Amino acid sequence: MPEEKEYRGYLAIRNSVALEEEPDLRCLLIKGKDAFKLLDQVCPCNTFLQNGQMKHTLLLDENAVPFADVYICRKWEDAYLLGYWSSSVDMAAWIKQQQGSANDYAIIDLNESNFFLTLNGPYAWELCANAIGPEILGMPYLSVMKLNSGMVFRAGITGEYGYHLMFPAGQRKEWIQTLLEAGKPFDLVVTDHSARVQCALENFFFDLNREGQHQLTPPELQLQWRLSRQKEKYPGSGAMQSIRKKGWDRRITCFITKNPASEKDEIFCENESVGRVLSIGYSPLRKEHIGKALVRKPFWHAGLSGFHVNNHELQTISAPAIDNRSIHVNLNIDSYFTRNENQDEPVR
Amino acid sequence: MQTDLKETIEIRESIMIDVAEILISALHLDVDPGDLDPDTPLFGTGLGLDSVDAVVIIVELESRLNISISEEEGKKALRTINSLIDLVIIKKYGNA
Repeated sequence: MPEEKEYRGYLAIRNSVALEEEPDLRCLLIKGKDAFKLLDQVCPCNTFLQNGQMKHTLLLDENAVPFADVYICRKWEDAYLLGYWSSSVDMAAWIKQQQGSANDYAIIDLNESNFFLTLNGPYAWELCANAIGPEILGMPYLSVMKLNSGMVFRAGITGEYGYHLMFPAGQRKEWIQTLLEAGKPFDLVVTDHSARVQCALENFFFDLNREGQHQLTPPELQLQWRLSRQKEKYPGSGAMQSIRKKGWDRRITCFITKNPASEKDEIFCENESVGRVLSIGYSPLRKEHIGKALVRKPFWHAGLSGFHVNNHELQTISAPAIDNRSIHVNLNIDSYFTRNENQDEPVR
Repeated sequence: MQTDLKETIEIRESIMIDVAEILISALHLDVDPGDLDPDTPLFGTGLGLDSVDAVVIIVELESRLNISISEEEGKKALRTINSLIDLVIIKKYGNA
């Protein structure tokens, strides 16, 4: 069972709002005439973005293994690379290595002068609008907005409303205080990353620190949607073409089990090994354990039972594993303060 | 492999082909069927579909697979390709 603190944070993400400081979220600003030309050199997706748009993609090494889980963003002529990558990666240096004919640009590490807070939850939009301004309500999913000092990125990996807030480092205490005050009527809970990690697992979002540590490629990770089939040249493109030509015989599949298991535990069908656990966590909403397993063909489908791990039953399921409350919340008519009146929302 | 497991796998593979074909042709997606991973999100991220696409998907599933889908069922199933497959299996075979 999760610790009490983690459970509270998890429930806040699923039912109200949770605030998390995210020192591991990184952001580079790429300025200059060739900013998007440079972005196009490094990304495996189509990098065309309208002003204020974001897109979820990956950065791949030469073996087509993701080493960064990123959004690319456009605000006017500036490009932003927002996401997660290891602190051991010198991202600016890696980007420069791929620059090709792009030479009119400057890369600015925004983490040097800013900090990140993240609000997640079905009513994050309402708290965010109260604390920052009603213009937040007009932000579509995967969009970016500049504030007088700071930026808001509407994204998130929990299946609920999510806002990454970037503010100048000198305003850290002030903004945390502002959000805590504004959050009181919303039963805001301050969380660490573990609650978000569990929610991301339930919604089948890629976790660079878990399945991302197993040298798996986008098709094995079910992340081909983050790449463009039409794009021919990007880091890792040769390996991707080879994978698509040869095919692959294993992929990540979501599963549930009533009993705990550990990463690397083998999964069996009768006496035959069919895969192994890559990540697992207890779901307080489902009251069972949810995980991702690397399962070989043809056992890699959802909706299959008859598997076992550590002699306990295991069943593969379709992602996401949760009926997210945010899907049922309508910004135009709903509010945290009338949440129990909405008959359409899942009851928890 | 047990016979019932083998049958379930064959059914899911067959419906995956149908659903991928419907998505690609009805929505004019510029992808190969092999590019569509079964747990790809349909809306927001993933395929980035919108509410009009949602209606098209339900209408096409109903007409091509000869099933009837209520608004509530459609709303629940329109999450990923796999959740659509689950719905089709329930409609055609009575369980997912």
